[in-house]
Amino acid sequence: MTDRPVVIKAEGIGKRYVIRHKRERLSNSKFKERPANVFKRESREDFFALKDVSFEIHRGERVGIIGKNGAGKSTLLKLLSRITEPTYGRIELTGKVSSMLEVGTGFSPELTGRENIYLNGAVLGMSKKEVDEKFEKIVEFSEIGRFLDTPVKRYSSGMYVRLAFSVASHLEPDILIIDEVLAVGDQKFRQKSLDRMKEIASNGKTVLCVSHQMNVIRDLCDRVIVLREGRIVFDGGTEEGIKFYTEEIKSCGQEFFDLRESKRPHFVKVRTPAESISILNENERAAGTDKSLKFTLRWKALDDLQKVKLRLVVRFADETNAGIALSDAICDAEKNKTYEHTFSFDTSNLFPGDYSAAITLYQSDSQGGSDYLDHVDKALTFTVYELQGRDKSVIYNHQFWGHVRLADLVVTE
Amino acid sequence: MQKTVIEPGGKNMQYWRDIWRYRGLAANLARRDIIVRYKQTLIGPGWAVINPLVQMVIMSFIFGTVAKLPSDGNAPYQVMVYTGLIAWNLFARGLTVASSTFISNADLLKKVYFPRLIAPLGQSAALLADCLISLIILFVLMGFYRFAPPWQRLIFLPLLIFLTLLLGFSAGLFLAPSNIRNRDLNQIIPFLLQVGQYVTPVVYSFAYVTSTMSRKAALLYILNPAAGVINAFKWCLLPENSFHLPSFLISLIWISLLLPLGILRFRKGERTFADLV
Repeated sequence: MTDRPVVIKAEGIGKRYVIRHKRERLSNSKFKERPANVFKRESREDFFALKDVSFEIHRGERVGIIGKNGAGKSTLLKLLSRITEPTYGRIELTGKVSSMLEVGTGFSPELTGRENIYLNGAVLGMSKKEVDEKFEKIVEFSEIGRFLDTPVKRYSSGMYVRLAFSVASHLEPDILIIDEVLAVGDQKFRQKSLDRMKEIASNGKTVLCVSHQMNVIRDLCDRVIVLREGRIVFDGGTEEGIKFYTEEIKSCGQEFFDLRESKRPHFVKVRTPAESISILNENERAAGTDKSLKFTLRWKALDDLQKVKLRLVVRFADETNAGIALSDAICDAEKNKTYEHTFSFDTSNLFPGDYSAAITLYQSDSQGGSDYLDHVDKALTFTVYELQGRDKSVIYNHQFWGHVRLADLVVTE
Repeated sequence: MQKTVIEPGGKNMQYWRDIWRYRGLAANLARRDIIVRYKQTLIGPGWAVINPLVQMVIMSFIFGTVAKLPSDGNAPYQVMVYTGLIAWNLFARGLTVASSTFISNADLLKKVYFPRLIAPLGQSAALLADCLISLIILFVLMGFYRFAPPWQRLIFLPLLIFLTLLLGFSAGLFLAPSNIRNRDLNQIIPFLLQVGQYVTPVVYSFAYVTSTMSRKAALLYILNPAAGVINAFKWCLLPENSFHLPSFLISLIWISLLLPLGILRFRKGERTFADLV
């Protein structure tokens, strides 16, 4: 690896942002937190999104950058793609750089698919000649077919994203910078996009990729850089990097989850806002000595509602799905009443590891469809420990085995 | 292989080379602006015409018919006003487009790199299409009034179109960075342009108005950056407009000051833009 030439060289780069705090009406709790700032009209605070970051990337390396939100990943990509400049330090790039920080940048809704291919191509740095050459391929890959001459504002969001990804993925840079781009489209197109990215990466291109999805990183990258609070804390192999990162997430567990400010998907008309979840297991948050995870959900009904149900979609730390748990009808809700229910969830079939769960409050209709009353992604996180007294002869490999231990095999004859 | 060095302070020698490399993007942005402006409207390019036409009717009624101001020599008042409006619109819209580029293109600028000057360049170029359509209408109007333009002077018209747009563009670049953190300027500019239209020889004759002024007032009047260039624009199209050299030179001086200063300020602004918006 090291005999190949260095194409990205970052020397001690740092990026400072100045945060201006406007004086707000202070609630009591805020008053307690920051008594010193109360009398200032506006205070300024320096915030370093990146601090003394140095690394070298050789031609053909595929590097995943991971870290928690706010660790500086996006800032690093912005610097490398020249959207903003570093406060100090120096970056040297060799070769043509293209970045896909967002799919469909510069798309104009009034223009047709065809016109947008040219516009977007130009935005991403392609010449008209290059677009001409790749036009057929782009159209074919995007599967938009006969809608080519329809204004993109009439496209479904899936078509829009497919076309946008298609243009971007036909760039031919020496260095490709990708930010979470793969999290688009339906499952089938995601796979197709992922395959396309792998194809690009395998052509000797240098790829830099930010993603929260560990399976994407695992598939795409052969090196991982982990950022924490603006510094590089790990730089090395993919599996070790992912392990390092999952350890890091594990260490910051919590027992109480305030859901009032959590983001809701826009398609959900919230009628039973979930307010909080608290995990009741002592010491260990799940399993260990307890087989079940016990938690209390507090929620409020904004309407009279019959037979409210809860479901839990459980995901492993790398965002792959582990499974789903459903409840029977919890209760019939009365308008403007707040409810608290304690649930128990048997975790003994889950392999040890860190999990998060999305919660959905819903009603079922007679056709078997569900009517969402509230939905929060990553509403809670919990850790499953090895049950005491269980066979310890296996080391769990989540990547190959999934996250669920099915019923034991039994010899019958 | 191409080498890029990224350092604080915007020491970036590749900038001007990149502008050339991204000229295709400027063309694409210009095309987008033109298509978007005319798509989905019933009469398409008609709107570029109707706005100045209506202004022309109102202004020539107020200044020509009611106030009975003289035109530029034998030119019908309507023709004189319309000529002025074409020039003024080019200047004013160039200024508006350039000064608001950081706002109107924010989504683009926050996600991809290209030399930021490309955006206002492309968008200003799109204004030439409207100008061309308006000029065609002007010639129709002249035909209607059986009025002949000074044919031999028309060769200067492209230069004057360029200078008028360049003045607006330069002033816009100069103002653009002030639009990044606070948007007040975006509110003030339309207001200033509205006022500016009346202190510039757009809807009345330059020669007549300056003749009514004291020497001092006239001097102050021609310090207006747009006065000279707009009168020269009218000179290209109206035979009895007398060319006024001092005011034209003053306009040229303004351009030669505003353009480099504008580019400097713009370049400074574009470096911090992504962090502030």
